[in-house]
Amino acid sequence: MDAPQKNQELPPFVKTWKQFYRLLIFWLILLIVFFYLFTRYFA
Amino acid sequence: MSNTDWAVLIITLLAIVSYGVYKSRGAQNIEGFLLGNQSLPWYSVCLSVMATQASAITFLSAPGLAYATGMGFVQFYFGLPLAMIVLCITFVPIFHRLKVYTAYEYLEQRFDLNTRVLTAILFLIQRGLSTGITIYAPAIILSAILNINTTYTTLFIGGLVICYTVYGGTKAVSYTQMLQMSIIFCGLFAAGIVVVHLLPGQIGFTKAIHIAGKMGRTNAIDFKFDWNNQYTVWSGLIGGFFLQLSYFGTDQSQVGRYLTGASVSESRLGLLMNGLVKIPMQFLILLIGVLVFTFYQYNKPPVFFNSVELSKLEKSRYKPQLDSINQVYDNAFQAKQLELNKLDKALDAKDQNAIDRQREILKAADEQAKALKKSTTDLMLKNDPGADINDNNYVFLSFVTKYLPKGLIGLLIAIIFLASMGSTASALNSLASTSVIDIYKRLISKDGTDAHYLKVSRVATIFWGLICILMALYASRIGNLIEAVNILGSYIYGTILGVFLVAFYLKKVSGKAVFSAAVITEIVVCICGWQKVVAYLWLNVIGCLLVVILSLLLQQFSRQSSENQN
Repeated sequence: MDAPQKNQELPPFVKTWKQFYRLLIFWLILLIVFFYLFTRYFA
Repeated sequence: MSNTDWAVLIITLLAIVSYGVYKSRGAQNIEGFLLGNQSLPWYSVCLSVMATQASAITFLSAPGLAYATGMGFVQFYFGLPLAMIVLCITFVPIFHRLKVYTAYEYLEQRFDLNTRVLTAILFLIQRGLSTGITIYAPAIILSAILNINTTYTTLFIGGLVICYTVYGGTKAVSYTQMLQMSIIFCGLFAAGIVVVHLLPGQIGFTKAIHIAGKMGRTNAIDFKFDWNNQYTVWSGLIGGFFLQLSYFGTDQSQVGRYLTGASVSESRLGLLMNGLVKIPMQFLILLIGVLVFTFYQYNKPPVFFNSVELSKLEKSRYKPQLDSINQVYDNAFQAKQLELNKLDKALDAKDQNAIDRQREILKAADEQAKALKKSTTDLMLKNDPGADINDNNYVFLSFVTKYLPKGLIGLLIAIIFLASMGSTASALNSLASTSVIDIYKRLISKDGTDAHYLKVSRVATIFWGLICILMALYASRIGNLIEAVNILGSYIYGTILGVFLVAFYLKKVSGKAVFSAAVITEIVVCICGWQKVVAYLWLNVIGCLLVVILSLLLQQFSRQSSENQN
């Protein structure tokens, strides 16, 4: 497999890299919400 | 430590180093030594990147920080996933496409030789000095715990890292880091389980967090915007983003890690997985600190965790004052037990009024304990103005050595060694690659054979290893060196990030403009730092923005001058 083809390899679980980036942002938001609830619940 | 712990410690360290050496065996060339022939899978990239960032102090400080102030530190990493995305979109494809060995090599292709050499030298200065501290900081703590001279722990950590990094190059670094991180995860998980197990019978996992929460230790999030508060959502997202971007994008010790990926996809996936895992991992490490805090509500902790500093005070003329502090401290601890029992009952009965009342009482008890600790550290400073009065790094290790079962103590001490070795190995490899590729091969010997550059790379690794060990040994004579190195990093990181941002996003700016901008910025940053115009962390932001703005202005000025001449 040559270099340009390698660069176009798709990520696992999702269809495009853009979707993976969105997933990561969604994960970050989810973590912030979880930490907020954690802080509230145990305080 | 028992013989079992020593055996676990030695076997763990030797097994990991042997594994790294075995996996990286065989004929090497320069590409293999510095880039691992770009053959590693994403999970190796991910664990290697994590091991490079997580120094021993990460695993010592974080639980201690949670014990002392709570879980707010987790917000420091909020910018990391965003930085990973920018890296994957911009930095990774460019570095892979151009097949560079170092990040600074790209700057010559984009600008000119001057810019490449300037940034490479700035990196060598900063990383060369800070790696000494990466070895020294855990060495001094382990010396205090194991009762061994700092020189031996420093030589042991430094010597072992030099051996496998020189032998196996970047592959040995990555393979050992993979195993190191796996053992670190297992060890911390086991420690977490044991802490819960050691709590009094009626206190389960959830109740332990409830108790810590009532005493202000579960404050994982803070939405208030406050310039003076280091850990808020906003400082984490904005400040953390810039910090992580400059670290992962321009520091060769990290760039060298993800350049070992077999393809753009493998490097990307490794970084993105780091973005997914890093925050939960940090959260769990802090949670262990919170559980240790609850444990110490039922088991009397020392008034100060650094036993070396405490014993110095006990032997001084301030012993009578220390004794009276200890007396008050003991009485306060006994009184607190009654209040904790009341809180326990209130939690079982779900009586909110009683919970609120006990919360206030226990917070006051916590403040009293802090005040007694402050009185102790004041005495320490009176006795010895150079005394180390921050005991955060000692909280977790002190707990480990005193309460954990045989075998697990050895494993957790091994984790501290492993974490130190992981980040030191990456640093040595990056220092060698930058010295050889950006300086030696480019300026001194352009036409050497592959074997020659491989030999020089090995010599450079040994050279930097020895420099770092010397720095670590010398560090014990300069009390404030850790802070001095952090300040030096802030003088340099901003300028380098600014140069890279101009390279990637301002295509019209030439090498001449960015080089002049970087030199002027470095002078301005040095003056600002020297005159203490702002707190040193802000020098990163000033450096980065100034390079970008000055580059644009100088480019515009140069264009207008040439138009006028025409």
